Amino acid sequence: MNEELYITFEKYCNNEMSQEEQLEFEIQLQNNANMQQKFEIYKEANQFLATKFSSETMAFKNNLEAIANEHFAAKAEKKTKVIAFKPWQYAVAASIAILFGTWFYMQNSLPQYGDYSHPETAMFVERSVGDANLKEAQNAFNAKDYKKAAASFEKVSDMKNPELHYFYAIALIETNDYAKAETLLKEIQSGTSVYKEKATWYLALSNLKQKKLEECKIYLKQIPTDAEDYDNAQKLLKRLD
Amino acid sequence: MDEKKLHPDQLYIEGLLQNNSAIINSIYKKFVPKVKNYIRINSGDDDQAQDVIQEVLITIYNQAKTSGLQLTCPFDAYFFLLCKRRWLNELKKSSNKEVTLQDENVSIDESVQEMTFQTEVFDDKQSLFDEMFQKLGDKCQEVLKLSFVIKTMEEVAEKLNVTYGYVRKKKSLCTGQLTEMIQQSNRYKSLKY
Repeated sequence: MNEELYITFEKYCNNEMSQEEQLEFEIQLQNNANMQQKFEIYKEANQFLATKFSSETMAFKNNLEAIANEHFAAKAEKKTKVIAFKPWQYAVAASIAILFGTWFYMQNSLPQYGDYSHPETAMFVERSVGDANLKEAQNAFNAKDYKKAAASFEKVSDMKNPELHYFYAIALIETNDYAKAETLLKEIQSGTSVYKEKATWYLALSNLKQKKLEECKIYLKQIPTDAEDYDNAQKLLKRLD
Repeated sequence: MDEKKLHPDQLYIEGLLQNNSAIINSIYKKFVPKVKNYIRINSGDDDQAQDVIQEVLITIYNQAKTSGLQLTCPFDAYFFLLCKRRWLNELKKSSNKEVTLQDENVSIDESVQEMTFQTEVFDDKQSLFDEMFQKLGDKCQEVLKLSFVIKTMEEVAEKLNVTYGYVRKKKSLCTGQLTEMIQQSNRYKSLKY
């Protein structure tokens, strides 16, 4: 494969050529049918990939699936029986509803870890490459089976990248292994990766989960305004004050 | 080539493209029952109907998003024909038996045939690209995927723990590799453009 050719294509598509280079490229293209065909496919491949991996496409597919399921399930569900209540049963149902309502209300007075922890999907292994333990950890994590995820992370031989530490730490918080989680998070926090601020956010959440509210607030205040979780941090701070 | 008039049903295409739930719902209400019925009387069940319908809607979406789709015929007829032909292909693939079909045998409008043909050509091409993408090495697949999922190449580089220059070069070489594989495939040569 002529590598230079594709580097030129990319440059041209990204508008990174001087006028002279651009002109020269276009003349070359005009006189070379094979190159023309390659260039056409190259552009189409880019379009294909852009559509395939666009977040809009993913959103569309998910929405379509949900709507389709609704329509195809509608008929089957119609058959479910409806049982009529007797008057005293209403009274019982109402009291139970009130009881539950109060219970939920009490639970809600303190912000909960679960309301704030929405980890992103782990995506570090593609198909069958790499460490089997890592893949298992990823799958367990995405399935919210944190106990299994933590155990699998433990077995991964090459845990050098901050992304893995970050997901490992979340799995540890979920399984109440706070000390270990916080050590990992502090390490990420002192580094320069994209997970730097997220680590601070999860340090706050780890403390929230342990009901150490003062520590939680300290971490929340460290999250800078341009961080992804800034708004969430501010909301949580308000509820804690 | 004559300029054909855009059909008012283009609104369904736009609705799919914008992921508009109200429009998608109305497609399911208005046009899907007919398809479901057709598949049912031609040895299919509801699950199979659901799959065929979803695949066809995704193809329409992909075509609209990738290369624009200008509907010049009623959506109903176009959608039905696409589903029907996809189901026939499924039947042919899954059974060696001769397939006998319950068909109403109506003549199909020319513009409907033309639209359906275009979408099927698009779909063929799309599946060729997909097949070749799956044949790329894992590293290439990852780089390409990330460079379209993540906004900037700087962030892609950071995520992969490599330099910006490397990831840029890798992206163009991987797309290059995909290009060569497609160009050399027999299927590409037989695609009708």
